[in-house]
Amino acid sequence: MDTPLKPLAELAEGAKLRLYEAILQAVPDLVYVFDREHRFIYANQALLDMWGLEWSQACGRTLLELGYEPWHAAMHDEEIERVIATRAPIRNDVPFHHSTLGWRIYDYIFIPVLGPDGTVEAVSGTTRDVTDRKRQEEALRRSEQRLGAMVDASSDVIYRLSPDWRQVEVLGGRAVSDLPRGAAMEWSRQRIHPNDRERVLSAIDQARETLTPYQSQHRVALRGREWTWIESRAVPVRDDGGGVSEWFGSATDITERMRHEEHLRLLVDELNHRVKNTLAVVQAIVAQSLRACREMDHAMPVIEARLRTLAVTHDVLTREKWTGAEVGEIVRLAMGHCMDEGRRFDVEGPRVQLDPRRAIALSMALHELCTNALKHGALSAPDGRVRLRWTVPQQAPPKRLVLDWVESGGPPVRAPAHGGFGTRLLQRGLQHDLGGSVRLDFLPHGVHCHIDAPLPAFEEVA
Amino acid sequence: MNRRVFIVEDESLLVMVLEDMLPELGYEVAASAASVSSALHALGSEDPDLAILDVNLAGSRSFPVADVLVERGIPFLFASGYGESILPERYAHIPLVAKPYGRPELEAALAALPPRARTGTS
Repeated sequence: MDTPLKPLAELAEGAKLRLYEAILQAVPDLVYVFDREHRFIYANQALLDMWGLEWSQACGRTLLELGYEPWHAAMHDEEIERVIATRAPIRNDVPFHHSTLGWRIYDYIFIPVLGPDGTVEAVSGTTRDVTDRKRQEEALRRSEQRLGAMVDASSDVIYRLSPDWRQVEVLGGRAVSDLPRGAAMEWSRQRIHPNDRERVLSAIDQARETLTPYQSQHRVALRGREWTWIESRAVPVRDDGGGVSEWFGSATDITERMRHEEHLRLLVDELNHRVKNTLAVVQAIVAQSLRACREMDHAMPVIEARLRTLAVTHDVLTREKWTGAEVGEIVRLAMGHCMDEGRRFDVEGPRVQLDPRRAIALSMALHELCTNALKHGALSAPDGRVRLRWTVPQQAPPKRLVLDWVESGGPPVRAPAHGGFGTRLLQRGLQHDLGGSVRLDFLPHGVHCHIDAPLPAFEEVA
Repeated sequence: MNRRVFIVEDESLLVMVLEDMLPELGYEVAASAASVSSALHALGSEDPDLAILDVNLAGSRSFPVADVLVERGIPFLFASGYGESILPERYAHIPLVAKPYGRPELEAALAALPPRARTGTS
């Protein structure tokens, strides 16, 4: 028993057969032999397991007799005939129901077994269960399809870079289509805006040095377009050894976004300016009102009324997106605090659009006229009236707004000894803001305010 | 003699405040203007010692006026609700008083203005 076994080739036939049989029974692949009549004359254990049969049940049977579907049996019958006729192997794959594993996919090879005279004695086959490999391939294929779809659906450009960043390959994406495939990085560098170039190169250097994600926003020159703002990101892809096999990146066209951001910045600046200016005006109203009133208690309602007029005028202007306001609306707003006296007003004029500055000036002026009329003028007497008329005289440009405030029926008028806030606002301020002329007459029978202001051409509404 | 101040400001209420405040601070109001064109026009006949210049005049920048003031050597300060970032580089040395400003800020800013440089070109 201690005698070592001889090499296979030197063994007696019986010993050889025992060895072959041991090997064939042990391999996980299916091994079998058909005779020329397509009957099984050999099947290894793996095949018997697949069928769930004993060899005695399979020996000498054809595929059809073993219960194969007719199409399946016919396919193999045809293949066996082809091998016999051509003496060439054939290879194919087919799904089949394993007795315990369920549906599997089998890859099989039929080869001719040649006799001493060269004719085909039998057809031998080996079959391998490739279900797992097929599934992996299918999963990989789907994953790649999904990735491709993702790239195509993205508004970004997706690219890969060689580890040294010299070669760039654009994989897809639609936003920035002017990147040639496989172009050297040098190319993109030349296209970067000169002011951004240094910043971008140093970001690249840092990313490559630290193997951390690269990110930058910069302008590039693309064919037929102005400078395009790009946001570019790239991440290193590690290989198994911990090195970087490639970089994977995306580039987004953010020109629109940058434009919006710039617009927003301008808006915020403008808003800031307006708020500060309005605060300065409020400060001036408070200062001037306090100056005119000796008593704090008297100043408060005056200040409040003036600020309210300023606020409602702002409301109208905001509603009109600060393009302007209509004279009729300003008149209604500014005289709001005299509304109870509405029947004593005689107001008439065409639709005229005023720019924001003139709108505010007119609003504040009318407020002062109203307040004065209530306190000292026509509206302080039971029969007093106010006539308010404005027109845009038909004449050669520039167009003008001519407005008259005429009081009547009030107590005898005395011109104030020195100009109070209201008087000054009307005489100096209104003239200043309207850029026209303002005449305020304290006539014995009533106050008369005459305003004549230029209107830029577009401001009249027909 | 009181130094004469040129006011360029489109908000009449602020002009009125300045007209009250400046004499109390020992200055005289030379003139006031509400727009770039009226300011340039006024500078044709006026020769003020100082100027207070609002940056935004009804939507326009007052820089053309600033350039004339610089050229004539008239010291001035900007008054603005914008931050300093709104000013071009060439005005980096011009002081800016942020709106809304109070009397002490204005007084200090005016006092810090240099005396008028006599350019000798006019």
